[in-house]
Amino acid sequence: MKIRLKEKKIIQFLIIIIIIIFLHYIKVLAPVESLISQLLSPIFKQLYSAGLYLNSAYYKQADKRNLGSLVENLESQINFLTSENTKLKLLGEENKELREYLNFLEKNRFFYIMGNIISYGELNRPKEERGVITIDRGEKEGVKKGFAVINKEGVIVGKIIGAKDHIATACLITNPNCKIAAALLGKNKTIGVAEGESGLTVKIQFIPQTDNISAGDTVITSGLGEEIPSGLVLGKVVKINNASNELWQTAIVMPQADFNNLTIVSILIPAN
Amino acid sequence: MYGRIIFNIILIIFLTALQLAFINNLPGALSGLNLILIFLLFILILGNLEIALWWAVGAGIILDIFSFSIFGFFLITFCLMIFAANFLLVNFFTNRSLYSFCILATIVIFFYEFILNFIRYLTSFLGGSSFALILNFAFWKTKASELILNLLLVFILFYLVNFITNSLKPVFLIKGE
Repeated sequence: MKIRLKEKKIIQFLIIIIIIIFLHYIKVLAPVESLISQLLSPIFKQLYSAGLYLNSAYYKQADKRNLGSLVENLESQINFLTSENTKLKLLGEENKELREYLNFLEKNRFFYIMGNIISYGELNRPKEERGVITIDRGEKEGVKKGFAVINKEGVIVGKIIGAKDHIATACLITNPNCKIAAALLGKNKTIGVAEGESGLTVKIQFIPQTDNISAGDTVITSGLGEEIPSGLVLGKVVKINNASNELWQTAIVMPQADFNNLTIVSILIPAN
Repeated sequence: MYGRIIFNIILIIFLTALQLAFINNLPGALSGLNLILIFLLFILILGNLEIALWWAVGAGIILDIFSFSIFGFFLITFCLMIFAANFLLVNFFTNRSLYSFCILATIVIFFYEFILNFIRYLTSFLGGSSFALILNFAFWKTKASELILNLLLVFILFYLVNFITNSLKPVFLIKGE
């Protein structure tokens, strides 16, 4: 009797799951999903900021171990002073960031949407592919797949790979699944496709041996895709693999953007 | 009754938000913690199958809303995981010791990873991630470190629950004089 009751409950749950999935695909659940994502985005943003603070504090601490006691004393003094002005500083930084965004975007006449990062990485992706961010702006705000995502300096940080009503996800340029057409600064020709490597750097493969590249060259977006404008800085070439017996060259690029301090980003929308 | 439901909903929201926005952003191996999976397991053990399934549905829906993979992925995975854990709990791990908890958690994590990667590789034919990742040593190293970290969480939660309640303490029947 008890087993039958249990089986009945299991079947009930299976039916509930099937109904939920069915309602999602026929878009009946869309308003509820939009509402949930809008309501939860502020909570996600706060928790993301806390995680980011811990993350940068950890790396700061790791760097600090390499310095002497003098630096440690200075650091503690700075920390003391910083904590005293936290609220004011946070407001000031946010204000500055917003002003910088406006300057960059007005100068370059891009249409843009600004958004907060609400989470980093997806739970069902392996660590190597976790270089994705979720932004609290979606299709209803004009965000579409393929659009470029930039930071406050106008440096490209990634590309939109999916958008829902009020949220969108972007792959960071260091993600192996993120591919962007790249060119060298001063040359209009596309040299290849930039793709992330190990979540740390960017690699450009299949560059013809005839192309002259050297360490220190600035890599920019080529504008080959309709959605991403040309001229957005990707980073600088740090290494070139161009063995004479190889058909192609490979360039390793160090990204210009600092991914450890990203909280606000802009999504560029093509003028047309 | 309603107060309990609301309390559970708030907890589910907080837990999923903590997992997605906070834990995923932590440095190093800490980002590999799967708080939801471990909590679901504890809810199944301390509560019952029905509560655990409601939790799985709630957490699954929120994760699916914020995820950009196939809708229903977390919903189905978590529910399957609960069914599997319940089967093991009823038939094999009847004593509620730390050892049985750890073994159960390990099996559940393996099961979860299997479903996760199985679906990933199915979608890889449609232009998703590469199948070759499974052949990479770093992949297995990461999975091992994640497993150790999650077992550490099980260890901490087990003693925490033991400290707060008597649910996990063994009961001995003493024959009366």
